[in-house]
Amino acid sequence: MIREKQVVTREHERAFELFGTSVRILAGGEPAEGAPPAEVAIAAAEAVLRACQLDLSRFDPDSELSRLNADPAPSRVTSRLMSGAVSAAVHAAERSGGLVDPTLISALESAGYAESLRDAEPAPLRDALRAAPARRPAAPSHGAMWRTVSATGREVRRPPGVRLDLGGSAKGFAADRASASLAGQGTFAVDAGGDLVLGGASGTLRSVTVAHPLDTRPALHFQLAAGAVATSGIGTRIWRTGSGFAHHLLDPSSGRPAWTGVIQATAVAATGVEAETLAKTALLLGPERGLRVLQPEGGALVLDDGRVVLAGPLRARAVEAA
Amino acid sequence: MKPATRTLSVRITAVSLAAAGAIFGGLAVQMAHGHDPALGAGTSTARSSSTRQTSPTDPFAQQDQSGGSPSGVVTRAS
Repeated sequence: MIREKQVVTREHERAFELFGTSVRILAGGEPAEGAPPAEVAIAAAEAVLRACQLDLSRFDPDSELSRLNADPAPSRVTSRLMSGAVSAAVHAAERSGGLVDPTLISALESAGYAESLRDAEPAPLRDALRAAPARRPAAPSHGAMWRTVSATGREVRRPPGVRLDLGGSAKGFAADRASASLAGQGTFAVDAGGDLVLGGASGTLRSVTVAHPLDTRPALHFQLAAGAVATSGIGTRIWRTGSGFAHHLLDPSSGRPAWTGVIQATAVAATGVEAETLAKTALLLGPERGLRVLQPEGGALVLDDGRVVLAGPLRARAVEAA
Repeated sequence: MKPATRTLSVRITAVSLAAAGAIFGGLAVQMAHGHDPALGAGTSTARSSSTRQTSPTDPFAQQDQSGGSPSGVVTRAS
């Protein structure tokens, strides 16, 4: 479904389905000199997002990522978009100490995430939490195959048989790329399924709401003029298995879903990739170490029991709602 | 058709449709609001004066309920 409207704040909005989720692009206000009209900038941003979807999906056998994963050669010349996305994934792995690992695709498939869950109803999170094993922080894999992956120029290198899943960083990467098309607008926002990149020449504040995975009321609100916000959680891509429940955020050390005591993490950062990486890292590290990861730039954790815990600048700035 | 050629074709088509949709959709929205783009800049794109601004060193601020702020956004796991 695609809808377009002009909101009362003089922003133009375009909303559509992409990446198996809902995407919105907003832009308006007084554009900088030489910047295109908001509608044109939004169209350019949408084109970037759609190109990311076409190239970076592991669920589309014709995508560039699928062709890269099927290529037995140790190196392959790719599009700049693909090499940039691989660079972002390697950066995320380095930044997270190996927790946000793009080489866990076989483990994901073994856990039951071999096809898109776009149309699947998530399993009940409360039931999954009751059935989950003892909580423990996730840890990097011993093999750390992500260290063998690199992108230089347009060349992507990885050992034969190492397949990549860019899901850990692709939405943030796409939002960052799309936001470049909107940089001259007075205000703008790219919402790639909850991964947000905000900005604009006017420095105008925008209200950000963090959804709560166990409550219809939001977890918190705050305002932000520019930067990125990403939320990672286990409540949306979660399904039943023969022995219980599984979700898509794996503990790289075991290759199994991570049950850490944190069910959702939200991070604020300068870029979408950084925010997405910090959010996933915080969730995988569990409550104590996760809060330390979020401390410098701000963030929030939702724990197994639904409590919301704030970190860094958000402790003074956020309005808790739930 | 080779997969790479097909992907390129699909991408070009998607970009064209997105651009055409945004431009003509935008024109339609402006016309619907009584502003004919052919007549030049009108009042329908005036920015609200009640929006707040921040210093570069403090991008956060307390919740503001004033009516002129840009549309709110929601972050959630997806």
